[in-house]
Amino acid sequence: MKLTANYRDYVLLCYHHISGVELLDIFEENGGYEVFKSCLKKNPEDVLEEVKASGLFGREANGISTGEIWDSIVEKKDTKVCLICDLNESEPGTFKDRFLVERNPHLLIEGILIAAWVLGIKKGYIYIRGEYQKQAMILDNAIKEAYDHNYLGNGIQGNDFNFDLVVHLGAGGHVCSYPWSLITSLEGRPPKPRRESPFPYTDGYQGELTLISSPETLSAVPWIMRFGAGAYRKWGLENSPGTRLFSISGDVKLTGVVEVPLGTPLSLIINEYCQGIKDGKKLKAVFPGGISVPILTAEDALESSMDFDDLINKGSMMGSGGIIVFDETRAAFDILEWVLDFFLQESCGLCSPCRKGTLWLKKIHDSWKLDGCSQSGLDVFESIASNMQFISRCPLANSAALSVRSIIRSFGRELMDYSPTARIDASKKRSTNV
Amino acid sequence: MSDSFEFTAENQTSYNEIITRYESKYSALLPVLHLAQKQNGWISGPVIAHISNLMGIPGSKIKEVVTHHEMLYDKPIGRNVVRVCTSVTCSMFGARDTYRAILEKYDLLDLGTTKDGRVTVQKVQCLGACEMAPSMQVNDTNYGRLSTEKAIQKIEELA
Repeated sequence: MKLTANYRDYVLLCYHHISGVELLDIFEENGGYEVFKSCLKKNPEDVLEEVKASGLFGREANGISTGEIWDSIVEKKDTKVCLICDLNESEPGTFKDRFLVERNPHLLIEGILIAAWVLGIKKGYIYIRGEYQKQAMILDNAIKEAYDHNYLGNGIQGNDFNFDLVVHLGAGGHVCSYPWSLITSLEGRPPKPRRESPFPYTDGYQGELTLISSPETLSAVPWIMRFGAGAYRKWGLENSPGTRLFSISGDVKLTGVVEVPLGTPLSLIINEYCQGIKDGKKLKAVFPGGISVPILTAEDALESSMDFDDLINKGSMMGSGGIIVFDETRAAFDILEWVLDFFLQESCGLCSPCRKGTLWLKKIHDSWKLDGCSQSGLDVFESIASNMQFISRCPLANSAALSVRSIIRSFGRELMDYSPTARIDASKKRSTNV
Repeated sequence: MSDSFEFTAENQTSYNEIITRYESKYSALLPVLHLAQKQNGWISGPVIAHISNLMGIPGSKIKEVVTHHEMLYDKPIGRNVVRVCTSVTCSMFGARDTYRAILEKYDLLDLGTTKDGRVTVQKVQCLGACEMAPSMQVNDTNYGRLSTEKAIQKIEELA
């Protein structure tokens, strides 16, 4: 077994320091596909047990145990299963999957192959967002190489295992991040959510049993199978084992992607890994998982750890892993506007609470620009947002409501101060002082 | 505007290959539309008619898919597409001012095309390049940390 990759420090980014690792030869030279080949000699049940023992859970927002999902698929023997890797990360502030696959596409392919072999899957799709055309080409090239080296296709590595993998380029649309819209888009229909059903989707793509998994989840599998569940569990917490990628943007000195054990304090990520807030300013607020999750105030953010439970206790969620940092000079009024614009533009228009709700909230916010924001205005805003929750087919309306309600809750006072009259008063005061 | 459309010989070969990747012809629709848009620039009526004939999918179904995707265009666009990200992180660093300045300079509305057919400007939500905000995508290449001047300079450089 080769140990040239940086296995001990990282799980997902263990090959990222190797120049040219996107090429299959170099990936193989550094130990790539070795784990898959060794898995082929093992019993699939043993591989499944190892994944279950690792405590790996889906890095998608639902956070369901990967082992349990795989188990439920294995139980349904002789059912045709389809695998979809969801690379449609379109949540603002999130670019970790892009960073993962553009440098090392073969790790994802190796993870997909192990999953496909254990679960008896014959066909897989990587749904990648339309904006990632270059990354789609990188994946396409990697898949071609994998076919040439008999890692994909028929009779893989001399075994009775056939698997085909296709890169499917989307054409824009945040709703495709949600499983049902993603499935309808892959079926060549408008990307609208069909309905919600228990996971895994028993009536998913083309009516088949469908496993939808994130690139991060699948890419962790080769490391787990190389070093075992025990080694993986040394990272992170008892309830949230392993590592996770976070993409950090906004008012920090160093933006980018970090891989850290779950449970890492957010303050460590911001102050150490990102070298703190720009220009010596103070922290104001943080979206810890894209703008679809409630915002954290500076006090809460600095006390938070990046794991599912702690963030829920703080009133937020881990979401997409896109951390957006705001410094003290950012106005809550602007943050609210940017968030509202996003959800208004990205609503697919199918469910009226989402279609109308996002529009009404934006109109109310626009009216505040002229008339200022009052307590009664905030109450109406809050009431509309709360009525958007839990009644639409996909989570977009719910996310919008959660996010804007948290901004109102944390910065309501500031929003009311941010009014045209207050600004006029402030300027008058300045002129009388002169 | 041409009133007929056919894939070039090379693209017809690509089409034949794309169809084999999917078990259902409907699933192949999006990649086929990408291919057609690459050749024709946009998804015109004749493009829809041709794809409808080739794939046996009703034209109305194809039109429905086109109008639901912001990266498929159902009206003529310029030779280059400039997508300006106006999502949260990019807006923090002046993306909206840049976007407005670009529209003003070229006297455009959103998704408008310059008179010489050189550039179409589109406002988008998140390009997934937040680490280098404010960012802009020109065709398939991302540019980051753009001031308004730099953004306009990039557009000026386009053929």
